[in-house]
Amino acid sequence: MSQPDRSDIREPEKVQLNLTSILVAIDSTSAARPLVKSAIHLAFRTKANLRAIYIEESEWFEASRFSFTQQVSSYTGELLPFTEKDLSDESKAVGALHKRLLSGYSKQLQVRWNYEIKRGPVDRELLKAASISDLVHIGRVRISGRRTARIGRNARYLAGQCNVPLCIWNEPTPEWPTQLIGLCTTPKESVQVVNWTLGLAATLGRTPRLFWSEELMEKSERDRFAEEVHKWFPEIEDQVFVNSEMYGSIDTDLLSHYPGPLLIARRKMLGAGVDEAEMKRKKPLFERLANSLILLS
Amino acid sequence: MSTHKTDEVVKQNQLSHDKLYRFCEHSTLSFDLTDKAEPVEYPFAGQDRALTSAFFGVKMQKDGFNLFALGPDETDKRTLLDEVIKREASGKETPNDWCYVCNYEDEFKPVTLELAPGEAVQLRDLMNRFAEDLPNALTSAFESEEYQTRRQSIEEEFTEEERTEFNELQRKAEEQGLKIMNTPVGYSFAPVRKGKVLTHEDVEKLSDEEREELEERVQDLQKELQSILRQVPERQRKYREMRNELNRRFAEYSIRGLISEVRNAFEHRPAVQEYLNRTEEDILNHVDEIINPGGGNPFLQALSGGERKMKQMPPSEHPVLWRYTVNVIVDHSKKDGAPVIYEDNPTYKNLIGRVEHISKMGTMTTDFTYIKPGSLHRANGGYLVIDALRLLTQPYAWDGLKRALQSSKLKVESPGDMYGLLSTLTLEPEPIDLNVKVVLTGSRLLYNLLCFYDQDFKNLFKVEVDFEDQLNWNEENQDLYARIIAELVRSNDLYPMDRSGVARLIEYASRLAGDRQKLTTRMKTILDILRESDFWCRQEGDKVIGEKAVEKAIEQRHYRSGRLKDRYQEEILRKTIFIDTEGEKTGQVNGLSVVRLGNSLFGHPTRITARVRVGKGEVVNIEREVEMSGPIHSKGVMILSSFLGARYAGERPLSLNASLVFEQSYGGVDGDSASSTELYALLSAISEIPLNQSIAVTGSVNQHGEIQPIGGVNEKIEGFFDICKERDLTGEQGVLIPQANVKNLMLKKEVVQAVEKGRFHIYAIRTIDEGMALLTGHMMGEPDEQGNYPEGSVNDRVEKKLQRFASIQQEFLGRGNHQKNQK
Repeated sequence: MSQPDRSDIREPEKVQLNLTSILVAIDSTSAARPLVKSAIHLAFRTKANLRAIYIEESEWFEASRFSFTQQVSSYTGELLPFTEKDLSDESKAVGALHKRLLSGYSKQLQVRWNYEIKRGPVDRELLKAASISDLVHIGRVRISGRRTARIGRNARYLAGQCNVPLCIWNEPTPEWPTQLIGLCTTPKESVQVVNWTLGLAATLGRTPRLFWSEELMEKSERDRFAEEVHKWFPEIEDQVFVNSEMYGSIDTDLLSHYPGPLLIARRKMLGAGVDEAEMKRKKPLFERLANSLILLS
Repeated sequence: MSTHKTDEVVKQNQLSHDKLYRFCEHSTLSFDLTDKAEPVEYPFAGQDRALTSAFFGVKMQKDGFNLFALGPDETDKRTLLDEVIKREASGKETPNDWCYVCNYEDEFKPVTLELAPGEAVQLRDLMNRFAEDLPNALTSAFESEEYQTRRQSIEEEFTEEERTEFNELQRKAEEQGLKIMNTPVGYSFAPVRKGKVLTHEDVEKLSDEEREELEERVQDLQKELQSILRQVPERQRKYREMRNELNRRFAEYSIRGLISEVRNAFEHRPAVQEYLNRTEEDILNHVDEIINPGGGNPFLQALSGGERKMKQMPPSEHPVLWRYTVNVIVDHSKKDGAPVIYEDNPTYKNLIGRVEHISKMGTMTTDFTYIKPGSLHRANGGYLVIDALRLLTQPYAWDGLKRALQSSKLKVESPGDMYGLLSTLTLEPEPIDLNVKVVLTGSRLLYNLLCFYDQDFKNLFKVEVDFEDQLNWNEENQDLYARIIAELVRSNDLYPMDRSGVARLIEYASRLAGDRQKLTTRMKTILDILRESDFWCRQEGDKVIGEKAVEKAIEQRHYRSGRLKDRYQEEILRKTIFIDTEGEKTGQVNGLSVVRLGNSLFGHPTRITARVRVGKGEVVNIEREVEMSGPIHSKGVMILSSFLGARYAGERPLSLNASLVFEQSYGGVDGDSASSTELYALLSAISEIPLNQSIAVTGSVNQHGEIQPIGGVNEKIEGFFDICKERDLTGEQGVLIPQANVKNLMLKKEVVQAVEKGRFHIYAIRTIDEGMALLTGHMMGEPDEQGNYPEGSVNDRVEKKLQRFASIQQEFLGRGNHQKNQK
C-alpha cells in the first residue's frame, strides 16, 4: 500500500477549505431554516457563493392536470386544490419565504447567494445542480415533535450518486457542531478525510479529531500517518476504533464519548451507495447515525 | 445681741465634729488585701428586691411577665440581670432551629420549618449538595443509554404506527395503480404506469368507465389518507404523554436517588419529609429548566455570563435551583441552653428582621433566601435584653415589639406593610411562634411614663425590677461591699487594694449616697473610682492601691469637673457677686444653692433679701413674677406666707406687702430648700432686727415653722466653707441646717477639722424660732396667756410692726373714703 507523503496533507497555512460554490437543497419544511443558516455560515467563512435550489417535482404538474386529484394537507388533513396554478402559487410562496430567509441571514454576513426554482425529477435535478458545486448541503426529513429525522429519498440518492462532497445536516439549530471527527480508513482514502477534517475545523474554529480504523490500516501505517499529521497539527487527538464489519460500521461506544460530533468520512465507510437489496437487509451506517455527516466521494 | 437663752440654743444645736463624718474602721474589714477577700456569689449589694424580682421574672413562664429593670444608670443593672438570666438560661433546653423554605404553590409566601438544634444547618448543607448534584444527575439520566433507547423505542413505536398505516396506504395505492406524492403543502394521489405518473393525454384515452373508476379509487384513497392524517394530532398527543411519562420516571428515579440522603437524615421529621415530597414534585415540573438554564435564551445566558457559566453556577444563583435551598434563620448548633441576646441597636429591622431586595434588570426582586432574622428570632426560646430609651427612640420599633409579644408570633414585614402604607407585592413569610422573655432597662421616669401613657406596656411588662440607689451601712453590708470592691478589682485586672483604700472607698460610697447611714449602689461610679485609683497608684510606682491613691482619684475627679465652681467662687471673692461672710444686715441672709451641671455638683451661697411695706398681705416672689421660679420654689414661698399669716394675722388682715428675691440670680430657681432662709429675711425685714451674715442657712419650712430636710447638704456646707476659708475663717462662721439632715453629713476633711478646731460651726435646728435665735441673738418669744409676746422678742417686734402697718392702711383707706364722700 503506498504511503501518503507530506505533500498530501495540507500545511496549516493552506489547510482552510477552499470552496467557491455551496449548493443548499431546500424544501418547504421548517427544517430548511437551520439548514440554510448553517450553509450561510459556511459560505461566509469560505467566501463561497451560496446556491439555493428548490425543485418543483414535475410529476406534481402532471398530476395536477387531472380533475380528480387534490392535495391532502399534511397537518390538518383537509383537502386543498391541486391545479397548476395552485402549485405555481405555492411555489412562489415557498420561494418568497426562502428568499426572505436567505436575504435575512446573509445580508449581515455579506454572503453572495442566488435562489433558483427548477422543475423536474427532484433527485436528478439535484444531481445536475450538484455537479457544478464544491459541496452539497441537504437536510433530513424531520417529523414535527420528534427528535429523530430520517434520511430522505433525495439525500439517499445523492449519497449514492453524487461525486461532490455531500453534507447531510441533522442539527435542530444552525450551529455547526463543536467537534469534528474524521473517520480514517486506508491511507489513501484517509488523506481527503484528514484534509477535510482539519480544513473544516480551521475554517469554523472547531475541534478536530481523527478516528483510525484498526482493521483497515496497519499499526505501523497508522503511526506514520499520524506522525505526519501531528508534525503540522500536534494538538489533534487520535483514537483507534474497531469496526467489526470493516466498512459500514463504527465503534458506537467510542463515539458516545463525544457529544454530537460532525462525522467526515468516505461514502464507502458510511455505507452509502449500497444497492436496494443490501439496504433492505440492513440500513446503511449513514442512515443509522443521528450525527450530521459529510460524505466524501 | 445674744442672751443667755440664745447661748443655750447655740449649745443645744451646734454639732460636734464627730457628727460630720463617719469613718470606716479598717479593723472591721475581713481582709488585708483584695486578693485575699472571699468571693461573692453575686457582685451586688443592697439589691435584694431587684434580685428577687429578677429571679421571679426570668422563671415565670406566663405571657405578659416580661421585665423592666428600672433605676439609675450607674447601678449597673445589666450586670445583675446578666448574672440572673445566664444562670437561668444555662439550665434551660436549647430551643429549636428555624428556617425558611420555598413555598412552591406561592413563592411570595415562604414557609417555615422548625427543627431540633443543629438540624437547620444540616438540612441546608444537605439540600445545597442535593441542588448542586441535581443538574448532573438529571443530565446523566437523560443522556443515559437506557433513556435514549427507551425514548427511541417510543418514537419508533409511533413512527412505526404511522409508517405502517402510510405504507399500507401506499401499497393499496400501488395495487390500484396509484402513487402518493409529496406536494408543497401535503400529499396527493396520481395514476402511474410502470412507476411513472400518467400524462393527461394518457388519462384522456381511458374510457369513461375507467376514468370514473380511477376517480373513485383516488377519492377513496384520499379519504383514507385524510383519516390517517387526522389521527396524527391525537397520536402526537399520546406520544408526548408517553414521552413525558418516561421523562418523569427517569427524573423521579434520579431525584430519589439523590434526595434519599436528605430523607434518611430526617426520617424522624414528618414536616421535612413533607417538604421533600413537595420539592420532588416541583423538580419534576422544572426538569428542563434545571438541565438547561436560560432555556436557550441568549439574552438570559448573556446576562449570566454565557451558557456554560449558567450550567456551572451555584444553586443560589441558578434560575431554578435556588428554590431548593434552605434559608437558616436561627441556628443553635453550637449553643447550650436558652439564648441570651443583647440588642444594642434596637431598630425595627434589627428586632423583627427584614426582607432584603436586589436589583435585577432594573427592578427590585426578592425571594425567601433574602429573609434576614432579627434579634427576636435569635432570642426566641430565651431572653432578649434591650435599653428602653434606645428602643423608644427608634421609629416603629416599640410598636413592632409589642405586636410580636401580644400575638406571640414573629412576622417579618416592613413597617410600611405593618401599617398598610404600601400596596406593592412583597414577601409574606409565614410567622414563627414566639416564646421570648424581654428585659427592658431604663430610668424610673421612663418606666412611670410608660405606665401612665401606654396601657399595653402594663400588660406586657408586669415584672418591675426596681434597683435601689443605696443600701444600709451596717456591718454585714459593709463586709459585703468590701468583698464586692475586691471582686471588681479582680475582675478588672487592677492592682490589689489594701484595707485603707477599701475603707476610704466605702466612706466615699457613703458620701455619694449623701447619707452617713447608707452606701451607694452606683457600682459603675465605684468602679470608675477604682480604675482611677489604680491609675494614680501606678503613676506613683506603687503596687498596692491605698488610701492615698483613692484620695487622689476623688480629688482629681472633683478637680476635673470643678471649673465652674472655681469660677463662681472667684466671682464671689472678687466681689462681683455680693456675699457677706461677716457683720449683720436687716432683711438680708446668705442662702445656699446647689448647682448640678454635667459632672459638676457644687454648692454656693446666694444672697436672699426681703423688703416690706404697707399693703394687702401679699408676699411677692420676684422670681415667680418674672417666671424664673420653679413650682416647688413658688410653693415654698406660699408656705412661708401662710406661716406668716397664721402666726401674725390670725384675727386681723395682714397689712403688708413683702418682696423676696435671690439677688444676682439670672438662671432660674427651684426647690424649697431656701424657704426658711427667705422667712428669716422676711422676719428680719419686718422686725428690723439684723441677721448675722457669718451664717449661711439652708432648710425648707412648713406652715408650722418646722424646718424640713433638704438635699445636697454636704455640697452646700462645703460651698460656704470654701468662701469663708478663702477670706480666712473668723471662727464665727457656720451653716444652719435642718436637724433631719444631720444623718446626711459626710463632709470633707477640711471642714471637719475646722469644726473640730472651732474655726467653723454647723448648727442643726428644728424650728424657725431656733434659727432666728441663732441668726439674730434674739429669741422669737412665746406668747403668754393673753397671747402677747415678750417685749423685745422677735415675735413682739414683728407683731408691733404689722399693727402699725394695719393702722396706716386703715387711716389711708379712711381718708380715701372721706374724700370720695366729699366729692
